[in-house]
Amino acid sequence: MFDGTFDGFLSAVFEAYTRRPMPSEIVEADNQQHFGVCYETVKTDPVKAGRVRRGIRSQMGNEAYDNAWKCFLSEHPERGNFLYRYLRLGFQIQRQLVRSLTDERVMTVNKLAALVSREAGHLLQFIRLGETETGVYYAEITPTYPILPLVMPHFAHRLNMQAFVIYDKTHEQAGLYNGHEWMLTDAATPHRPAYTESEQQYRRLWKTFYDAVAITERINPKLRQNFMPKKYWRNMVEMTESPPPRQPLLSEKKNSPL
Amino acid sequence: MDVFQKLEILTDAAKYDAACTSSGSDRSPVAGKLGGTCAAGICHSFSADGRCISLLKVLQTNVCMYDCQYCVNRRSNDVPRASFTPRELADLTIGMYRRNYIEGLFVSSGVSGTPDHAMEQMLQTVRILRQEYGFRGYIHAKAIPGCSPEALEALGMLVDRMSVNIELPSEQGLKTFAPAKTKQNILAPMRQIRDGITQSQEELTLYRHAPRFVPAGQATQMIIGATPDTDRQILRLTDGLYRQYGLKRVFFSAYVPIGTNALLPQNVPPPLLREHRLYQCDWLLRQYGFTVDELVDDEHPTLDPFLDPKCAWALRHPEVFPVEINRADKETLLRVPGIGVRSALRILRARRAGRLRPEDLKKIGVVVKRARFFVTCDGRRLPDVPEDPVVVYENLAELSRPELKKAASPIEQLTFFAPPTLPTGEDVMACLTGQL
Repeated sequence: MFDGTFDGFLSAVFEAYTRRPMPSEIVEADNQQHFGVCYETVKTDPVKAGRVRRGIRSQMGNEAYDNAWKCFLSEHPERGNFLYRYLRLGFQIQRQLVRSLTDERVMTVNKLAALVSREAGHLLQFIRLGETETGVYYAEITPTYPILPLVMPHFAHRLNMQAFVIYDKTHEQAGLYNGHEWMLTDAATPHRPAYTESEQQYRRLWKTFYDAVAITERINPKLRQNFMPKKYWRNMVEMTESPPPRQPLLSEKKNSPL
Repeated sequence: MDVFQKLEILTDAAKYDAACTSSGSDRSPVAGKLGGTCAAGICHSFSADGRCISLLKVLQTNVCMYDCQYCVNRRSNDVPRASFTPRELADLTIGMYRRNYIEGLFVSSGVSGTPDHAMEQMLQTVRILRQEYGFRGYIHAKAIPGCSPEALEALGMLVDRMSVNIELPSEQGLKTFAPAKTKQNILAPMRQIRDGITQSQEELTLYRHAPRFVPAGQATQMIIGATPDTDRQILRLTDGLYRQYGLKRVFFSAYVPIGTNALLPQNVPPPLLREHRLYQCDWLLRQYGFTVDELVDDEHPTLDPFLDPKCAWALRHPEVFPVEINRADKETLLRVPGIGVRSALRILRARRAGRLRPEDLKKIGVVVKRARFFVTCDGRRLPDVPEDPVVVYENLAELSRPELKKAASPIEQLTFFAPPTLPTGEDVMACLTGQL
């Protein structure tokens, strides 16, 4: 049994390889246990975890490590066992692991990793930051998986000197960036300073643009929803903001042949 | 006029431009500067029509002295006019970029005064972004036909992508609907951009820090369905542009009836299905190693609305199939309907770890319901695959039915049943058995 952290899981893998015979499963501490199976609690040890991490990278490659980590982020109740089986196969067949696309153990891990990757990718697209009065930008997200560690580097790089906070409401976790480095912290409800005046202006500008850019003759809600799943809408400016008051100019245009 | 009104007018005026990709440029961020680009591009939103919004796509101005009949901004059209000052547009871009609304700016312009004046306005906007704000995000700018080489050169050094719209697929169409534009003054800037890119790449091999001219390459777009050009003409032109002008992308834009000229189609829905089929061909040309003559020829100058072009090709070439999954090379795998670039690579990869059985194909991401007619695994065909070509055709056509429904508006669907496009049972037989 491990404590629910990735390092904890890797420590458990380390311990498993020191036992003979090897344990049959690795589960999370608060998970349901099988009757008649004897469990042992493993203490998280960064040194042991580090050795397993390096072992995975050098024997199976970085891609296998990334997949394993992303699969872990899926928080699937069986993730410990899925990964344990995956890594045991990996320590046997090494670099063939990432090529064994038809192996059940590999497929399970890849599938969960893909779900996590996809969500992280979606958030790179759909996170909307707002400028607060302290100058720090703020965004709220409600993802299914705790993908903050996957999206923080992207925004930290890109926004560079611009400090920001991304708050994951689902997992009560905040990603902080101060303009130099980023970190994660657990936070129940972070204190968000008020938005600036120009923030409201920009939200409305963006909504104006969003509505104007659609071609009426091509309206296709299904296509839009395919690309932009509804679950992200509630945190997106263009899907929540009501359109700015209509200008007389608009009605004029409505009557034109357009 | 406030900035809201300007934004609304100038977005409305720019929305018929198809291209909105932010791909092709990979510029990692630099300490102290805002932004970066990534090669695959990022779409930040999707508008109600389902098209991606990646860049702030607006015109610098929609004041235009030209009177191109297919264009919403033509001089004779009675629409409100507006212009952004370079400062306004640059500030808007930065503000939206900081909020992760957009990947960058896509600026085009109507021609107010001379083409060079329009270019100058865009250049000023881009200069503020790049030089004053140190903005490293994506910028796509349109080159105005008829501008001076110097103006083009200056803009090209600052942006990621440039495009010159070829507008209509034939010279005849241009003469009729856009008398102010000629093939010559559209192709001249295209050539200059091509040569600039080539030269810049040569310099880059010599000096790592040589300035980069239009690093994400050149694109263009043409309007589909405003003129009577056939799919074959359109695809040949497209292919020519890729080969001779080194273009990265050619975009097709289904004509939305906004013109009043009697020669233009009136009151018809945009030909979305045709646009979709042309894009399918475009990908086959760029990523799958197909040539134009394989997709459309004298016998089949228009694409089959019932069948995607790859299936259509496969049915015309039974001699190529079945393809052996465990032995075929990448080029051959790519020709199989139901196998895309990704699944082809996955097949190659999985083959190194063991032989593939029929039941493995689905696990690997092959679209088995399409591919099953065309492959074998270790010499074995997949179970329950019909051999009769007519049945295969019907099966495949059935698969693209949702596609037809999705892409075609009701009126367009009706026109399928008009005699010229509907293949009768006999046609199908002739086209299939004739070559079997």
